[in-house]
Amino acid sequence: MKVDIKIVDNYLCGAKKGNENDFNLLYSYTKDLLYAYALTIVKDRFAAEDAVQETFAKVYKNLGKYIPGTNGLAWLIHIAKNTAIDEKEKRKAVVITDIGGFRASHENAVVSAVYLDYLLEKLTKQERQTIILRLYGECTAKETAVLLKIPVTTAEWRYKTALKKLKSSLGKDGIYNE
Amino acid sequence: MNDFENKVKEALEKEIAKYSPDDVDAVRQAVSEEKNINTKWNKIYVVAACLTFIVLVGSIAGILLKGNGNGSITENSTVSGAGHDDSQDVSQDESQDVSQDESEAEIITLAEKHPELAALPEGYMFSCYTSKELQMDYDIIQYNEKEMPELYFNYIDPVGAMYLGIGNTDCSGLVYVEVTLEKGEHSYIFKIYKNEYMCLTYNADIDGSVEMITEWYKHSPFIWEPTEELFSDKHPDMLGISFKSYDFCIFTDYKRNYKLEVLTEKQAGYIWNSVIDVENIRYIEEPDFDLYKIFLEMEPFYTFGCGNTSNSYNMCLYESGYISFNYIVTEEMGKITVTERYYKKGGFKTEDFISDITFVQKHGDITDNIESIIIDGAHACIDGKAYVMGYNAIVFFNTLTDNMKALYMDIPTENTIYLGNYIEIIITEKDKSTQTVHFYETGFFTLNYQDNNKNNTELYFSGVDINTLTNYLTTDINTFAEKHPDEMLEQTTNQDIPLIGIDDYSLGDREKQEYFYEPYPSNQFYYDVMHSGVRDAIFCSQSDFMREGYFVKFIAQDDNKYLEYVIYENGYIELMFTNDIRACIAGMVDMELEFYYNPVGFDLEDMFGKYIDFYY
Repeated sequence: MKVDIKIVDNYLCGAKKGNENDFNLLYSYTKDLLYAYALTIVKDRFAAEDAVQETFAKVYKNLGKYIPGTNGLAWLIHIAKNTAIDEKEKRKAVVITDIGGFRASHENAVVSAVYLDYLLEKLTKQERQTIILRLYGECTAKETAVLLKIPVTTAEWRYKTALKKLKSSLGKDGIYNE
Repeated sequence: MNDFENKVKEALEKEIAKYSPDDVDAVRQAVSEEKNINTKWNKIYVVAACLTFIVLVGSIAGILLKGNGNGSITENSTVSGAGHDDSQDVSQDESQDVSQDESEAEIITLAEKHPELAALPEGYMFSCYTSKELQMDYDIIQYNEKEMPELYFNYIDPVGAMYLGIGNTDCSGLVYVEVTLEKGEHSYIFKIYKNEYMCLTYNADIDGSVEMITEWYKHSPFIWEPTEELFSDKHPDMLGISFKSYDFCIFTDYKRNYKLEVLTEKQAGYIWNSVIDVENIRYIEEPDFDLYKIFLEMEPFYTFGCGNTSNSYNMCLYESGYISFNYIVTEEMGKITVTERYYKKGGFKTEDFISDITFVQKHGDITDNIESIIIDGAHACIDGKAYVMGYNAIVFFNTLTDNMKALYMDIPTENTIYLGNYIEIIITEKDKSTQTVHFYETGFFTLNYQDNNKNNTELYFSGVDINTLTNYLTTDINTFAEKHPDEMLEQTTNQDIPLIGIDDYSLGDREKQEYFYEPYPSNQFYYDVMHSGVRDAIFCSQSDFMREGYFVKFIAQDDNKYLEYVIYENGYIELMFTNDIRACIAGMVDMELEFYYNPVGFDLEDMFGKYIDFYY
């Protein structure tokens, strides 16, 4: 799902002016990407869900601080990132029981879930984020670089390394065959 | 997108759709719950403030009774936190604002969050940097063992500093004091900003990898308490000041960026009534001389001056909200300058003086077509040294105009004087006249262009400090095209340029790379490659060279010359060459080796895709 920065900006501007519907639309439009992004940090589906709720609560409270015409998506991702790190910290004392978890045996698991598990377990945080933004968020290398605040070449290199690593892990375990 | 990428994308879409939250009402509920909690905490704040006051009075009384004149740490830290709940409005970057709000429900101090920092931790090397008058760099001050803990408590105040949350290190505020504690590879760095915030950066072990964590604290060690007396009470005549009968100017003394501007009546009225907000600023009784006063004296933010033939006034506006009001009175002994101090709730920030319009809103045509603009020239002056930039200019331009942040400053730039380091980039767009952009180390930049034969200069603020980019600068003319002008001519290369393959160097197995010996239309190929960024790559040393990622290696050869290029997608180029191949074969000369770097990187697929099947 491609998230258009201009649409995000429109929704944020509308919400800033007090338009509740725009806030709802912003939520529906970006929640999945923010969820996926939060998941790359907390690696737990429930925690990611909480992080997204919390992110939007913060966005709602801070709408007044949003500068129209700027990269609203980068703003949302920045908030989601900090919230997810806080969420992870908060849950450190709690035993995480991820409903997916990393399956020791993936034979009975849904393939899509296994892919996600491998993504969460086999890649570094930075690699996960790049994959999520590039593939799930359909961002270009340049857009990914802006959102992650890294050089374009790094974004591109990280993406390719991540893909390769993922492919190799899935291939080794017989889940993906070319 | 290949089959594998499609599979991953599909899997992600399925999984995310399954678990992603879909209840926006939960957000609203969370917001309203937090509001309730905040109200509750606000009440607790009031009670705590009363208790603090009682304890403070008690401790001061105790100190007096004991006759202990030594400035108590507790005394200092308690005083510092009092009376400034309103300063939450002070400018911070958005992430910090957000983090700030989120932690109000669970107030913890630095000492609680990091018990190891409740007192000056043992075994750490203590260094303290304070900002030097009008300089961006710091003076290192050496302290003895007795002074260290005292300063630590004075500056850091572990029991008074309130944790706000994590954030990034972007902060446009100026640093008063920087305290560093180091032990081996572990360090704590405290930066105390003049806007009543402090950030703590330390390295922590997270999931087996070391990450730098930055936490923000509300911290007010340098506070003077304003009285209830208003500016208007002391100077009722100044309230109805006639903007017609005075000249107004504003002098910016932000870091080393001096700027004097004459204001129009409208602008003066706006700054006087809306930014300074003279009706609401409160008088501060002159405190005794102390160190903190010196800090405030050193770094005024803006100076607003007004005067005519009989009177002159000026106000130094500090980012923290303090105002120094100076005027001249004539007494028997002659003219004397009177200084009064005031405080404005919320402080001052750059945005107060500028509009909400961004660079991209005013010049979207430039930023939208960034790839099509031509850099006609670029040079820099950093610490008195001249630099030139090749292809880097576009990187600078992109970074420094930073579309997300660059704000248009709606103030005239006539009579503007800039000192200090700068980068100048001259650009042209198709069918447009030349535009010149000057970037300054203070995060300001100007755009000069012609419109209807009229010269226009616009001022912007992006917050990007050019000094952080000096690694990309070079003092000599050192681009590939400049060092190898002959190689840039198409006709000097051989008709057949064999491509020698592509592989992933990270596998560490260059021997197994595939080879392609098919002939290619060399001139066009060579020309394309050279103009895909190779010509603009900057000469670099072997120690900077990084062999990583994918690369393409190819050879260009004619009767005399031999050139072997290894082009890495991370932007580095390894060039092995000889200008006399016969002498080289005969062992009379060695091959030469040079390294280049283009920070933009190389899109190998784009450059070589026509000739090679890529198998990433």
